[in-house]
Amino acid sequence: MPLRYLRPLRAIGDSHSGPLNGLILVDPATGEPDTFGQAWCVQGLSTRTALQPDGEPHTAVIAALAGFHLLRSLSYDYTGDAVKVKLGDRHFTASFLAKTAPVLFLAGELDAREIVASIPGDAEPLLPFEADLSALPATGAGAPVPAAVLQERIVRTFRPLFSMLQKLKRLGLERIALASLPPPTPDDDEYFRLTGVRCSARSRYAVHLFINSLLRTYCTQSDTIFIDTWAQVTDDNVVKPGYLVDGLHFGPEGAAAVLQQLRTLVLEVSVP
Amino acid sequence: MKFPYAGLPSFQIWARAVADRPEGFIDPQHAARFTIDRNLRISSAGSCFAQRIAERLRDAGYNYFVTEPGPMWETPEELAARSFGAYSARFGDIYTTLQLLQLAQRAVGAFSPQEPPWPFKGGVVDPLRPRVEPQGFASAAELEADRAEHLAAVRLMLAESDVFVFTMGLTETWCCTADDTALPLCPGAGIGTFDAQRYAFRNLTVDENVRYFEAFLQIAWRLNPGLRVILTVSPVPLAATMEPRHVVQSTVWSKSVLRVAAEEIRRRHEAVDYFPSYEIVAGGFDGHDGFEPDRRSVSTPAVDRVMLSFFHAYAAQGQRPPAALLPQAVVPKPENDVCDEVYFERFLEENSRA
Repeated sequence: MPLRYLRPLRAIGDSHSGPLNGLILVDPATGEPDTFGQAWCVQGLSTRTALQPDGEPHTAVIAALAGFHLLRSLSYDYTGDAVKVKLGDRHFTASFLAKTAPVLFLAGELDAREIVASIPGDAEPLLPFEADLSALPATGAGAPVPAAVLQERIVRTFRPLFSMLQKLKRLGLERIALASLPPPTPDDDEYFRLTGVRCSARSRYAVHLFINSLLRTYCTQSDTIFIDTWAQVTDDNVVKPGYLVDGLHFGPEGAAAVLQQLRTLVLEVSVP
Repeated sequence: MKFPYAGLPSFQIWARAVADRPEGFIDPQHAARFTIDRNLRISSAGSCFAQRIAERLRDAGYNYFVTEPGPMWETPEELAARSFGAYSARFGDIYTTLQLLQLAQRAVGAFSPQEPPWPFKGGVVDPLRPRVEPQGFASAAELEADRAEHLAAVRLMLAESDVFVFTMGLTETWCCTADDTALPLCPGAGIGTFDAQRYAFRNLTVDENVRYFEAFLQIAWRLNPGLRVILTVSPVPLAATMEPRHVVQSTVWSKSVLRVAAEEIRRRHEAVDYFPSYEIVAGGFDGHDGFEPDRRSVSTPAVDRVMLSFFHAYAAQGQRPPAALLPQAVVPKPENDVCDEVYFERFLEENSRA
């Protein structure tokens, strides 16, 4: 087989970026590989840690962007007016790739757990849109959580993540994409074992759907690319069997669903 | 023949409804026409007092419907300073029924005001909501783009709300002579330039208020036939009057006109109810002073009494309390007050003696 390069599908995120790393996608017409997932995992990246206390993006995110060649280092004595971001004692600005190469962010699942945990065990979150969750057991008879209350909580929780992405856009990254949250496990005991949060499947599914709808809203507001895989990885709004390899993270099928949408964007770009 | 007053319910008899009640427990909304479930989408608009109602609905866990929440990456303080979230959409204060009607007409493409943007700080402001963007818009094009989004949000609010609460504030207004566009703020009050040829004073009558509000209802019900409406009258007195009489007389006249108009509208439409926030605060029948020392600002305890009565009247029977999320951070008030009338009052204080 002759030597060849594949196009990188760049992703930065929490542990959910892990399954994307190294996954090779093929051109469906030829069956030839053409792209591969290149994921930089920032362990524990959450909306809370997206911004540093001084308002700058998470240092590991800057490092990842530099590692992906989307940022370039400025000389120590640079005094021009380029929009800069600091990492350690060095300043970086957007590289020529930043204008065209998409970069995907995955974050928020850790925060979703906190939001799920803030809902009383037998309460049902009310959604401001239609969503059929009848495949999951009904929630208890507790008082419903009004949609406006939950929305305020989600927006407030996710605001630092949105602010970080806006800062990166101002830095010159013009093609930022944001991934939808994956569906959680429908198994209550497994979810508790993995996250420490005891809740009904319908509650956490409702929260994930609500968060995803608000991620979509943010993307629309900010001209950000939304990579929404929910429909592809669920049947009747419940995760397809076998798609979560450990109850939390996607296996190759789920990862491929994420990367496939990114692939379309990357192949539009003429830069190798 | 039976004496017609015999057997009247207690709330119709002053001695039992007011005089015998312990201080602070008068509840003049004896029966509401409908109830409000916490699942229902409630939107609101109106004068400054409507902001207080919106805050309390949110705090009480009701589903306050906001169709123009603002950029999701901005902080609550930044959003509040830009008037996002004060009402269901970023229309600022709506003091008159004419202003509300024209907003709805604009939202459905039935009215295009001729008034051009007003120059401000090197950019422009929207004369129809001049204080929603404290620094103004950079250009007329930016304003126009924002206005298109705003009107789409208004349309969505009307189309998808279950209940719309409107607080009638004023009868006195300034309108553009060219097309009768109602302005929320008199041009020249620090924003815009007054020109007697271009702007005229109007003081809306009962008939006009009824007509304008009914025209608004027709638009709203075309978009959303199931929409129910709660009308209230703001107890906040006029900051100033253009009528050549004492401002107290004008206040009583304006509020009386609005109260009568509200009653007439309620009488004609089953889907419209009237809630007596004006009576609770301004009436003083419960033995409490409803105002701060300036005699205009409604005191917090008075708002408490208003909302207690509101929930008593409209909360669905057997409504379970809302599931509480963890305590939420208190969003501080923006430094610059977002209420146009308060701004106008301060402007008058500083400029009317000149």
